[in-house]
Amino acid sequence: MTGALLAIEQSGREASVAVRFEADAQGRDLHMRFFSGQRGVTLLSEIDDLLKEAGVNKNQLSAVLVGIGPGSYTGLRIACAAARTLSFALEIPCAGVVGFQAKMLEAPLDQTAHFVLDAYRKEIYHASYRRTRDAIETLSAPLILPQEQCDSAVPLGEAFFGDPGLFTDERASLGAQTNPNAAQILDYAAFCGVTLDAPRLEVFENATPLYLRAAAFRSSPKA
Amino acid sequence: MSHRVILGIESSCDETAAAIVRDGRTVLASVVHSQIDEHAAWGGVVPEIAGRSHLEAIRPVLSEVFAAANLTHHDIDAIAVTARPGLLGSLLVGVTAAKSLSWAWNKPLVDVHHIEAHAYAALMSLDEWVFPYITLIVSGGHTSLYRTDSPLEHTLLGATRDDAAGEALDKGAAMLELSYPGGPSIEKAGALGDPKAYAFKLPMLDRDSLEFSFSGLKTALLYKLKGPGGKRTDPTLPESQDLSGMAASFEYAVAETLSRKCARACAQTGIPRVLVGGGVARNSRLRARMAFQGEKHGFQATFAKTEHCTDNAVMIAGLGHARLQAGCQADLLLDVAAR
Repeated sequence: MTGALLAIEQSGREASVAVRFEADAQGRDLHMRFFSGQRGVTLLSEIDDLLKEAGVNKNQLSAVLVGIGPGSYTGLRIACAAARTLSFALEIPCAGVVGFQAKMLEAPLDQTAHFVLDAYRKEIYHASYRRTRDAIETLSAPLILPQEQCDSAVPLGEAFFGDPGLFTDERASLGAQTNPNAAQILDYAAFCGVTLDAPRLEVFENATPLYLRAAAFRSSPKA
Repeated sequence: MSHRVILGIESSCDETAAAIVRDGRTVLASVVHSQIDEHAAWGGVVPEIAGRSHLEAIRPVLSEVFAAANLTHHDIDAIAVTARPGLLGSLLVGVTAAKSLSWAWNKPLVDVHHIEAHAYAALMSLDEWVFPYITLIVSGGHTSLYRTDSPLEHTLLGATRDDAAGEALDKGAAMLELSYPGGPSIEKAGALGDPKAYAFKLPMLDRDSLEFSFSGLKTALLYKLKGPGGKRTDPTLPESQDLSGMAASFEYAVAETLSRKCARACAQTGIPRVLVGGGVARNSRLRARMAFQGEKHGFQATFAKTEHCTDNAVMIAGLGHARLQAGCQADLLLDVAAR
């Protein structure tokens, strides 16, 4: 029995789960489901339906990959809790994938591309990467910036994913969507050389949300 | 199908816990990861810190409880989890973990109400159950009196209109410049103090209700320390600087109010048996005052074991067993609720 990879992506309003498996007679090797990411209530039910539709047994799963953001902390935390517990229960590895890196597979080759995502409170998430033939190089890891720095973070003429409305001037985006879907996480895993049977996940992150803000927002703890 | 061995999971507030319990009674293993140190600097539970900490702790806690019980998932018949009430971000971690285990291992899932589980913790202290009981649940988030007719049947008789008793103790401790959590700090500071050193009016005992109110008691403490109309930043009055006496008197006022309300509930219902659960049930002065009132008014109070007063998963697995026996089960669409 060959293995299969499960991916969970819950960083935005639209969540998805996907499974990649050995190609069947029709050449089909991927199945994905989209659902509302709100509070992750349906996540396990979606995974159950996903595997049934794909004809994959849960014992075939060889690893769980989870999108770790940037994005909604609640959605990411539920996704990571599921990934970690499934990893424990099924005795398979799990790892986190930075959403922007997976999305970079859509960027033109050998060009810098930025990501700008509204982080609310007049702040943005920003990161930049370069896609080469065999790697996604991180030029600037995800961080939070005041929204007023959006213009300067993305030099004029450089490509970006995100909402053009975050800039004060007019710019054309590679796409408004900055978070990947679960299939794109699996595509990124394949791009990184992850196999179905004996996945090596060392190149990825821990299954922990990208917490780019402090947990407590008061300026200082009580004396 | 008989569900004998239950894995319980609790994550409603600031403790990540797992336990394995057989037949709702026998504790095979219990693990509690407390976040108190992570919240102490903030003087209370910070929901986002709690959510992050639960995610980090859930897998190690699960591994540890199976290792401590020397069992594998093949030995587990079902999974019980706290689904309400509590902090949503905290509950979601435990419920997601429970659903993941239920799906991966093909085990039944059952949801548990956290407050009912505290009542079950007190029932676990008894060899035989003689229903009905008057049940007092008293913690940092809850102060309520119920009539309990079975592990699954609780009728609310009265609850706090404002602060919970444990919340009053936390806020009182902060006014006395004692560390968080306030209950144990006040108990320690007041251990050798005179509980009659300062007189506090016991709240809501002058009317015939079973409701509570502790916010006035908190204000009374402030005014005793700083003078009438005083603020927390004002200097403490010279006559109010007996810390042990003040801590003992404030703690006494809380404990005496709770005990007398239980006595009143027993008198009104004719039920001479009281169960006490929740974090404040650990408090020695409450245990002593309840025993005193019980002797005076003819009721027997049974407290949860001290290790089962604060949040734990033993009570979740225990009540989960009772719910499964009654035919209750949840599915993978189980949601959480703050109340």
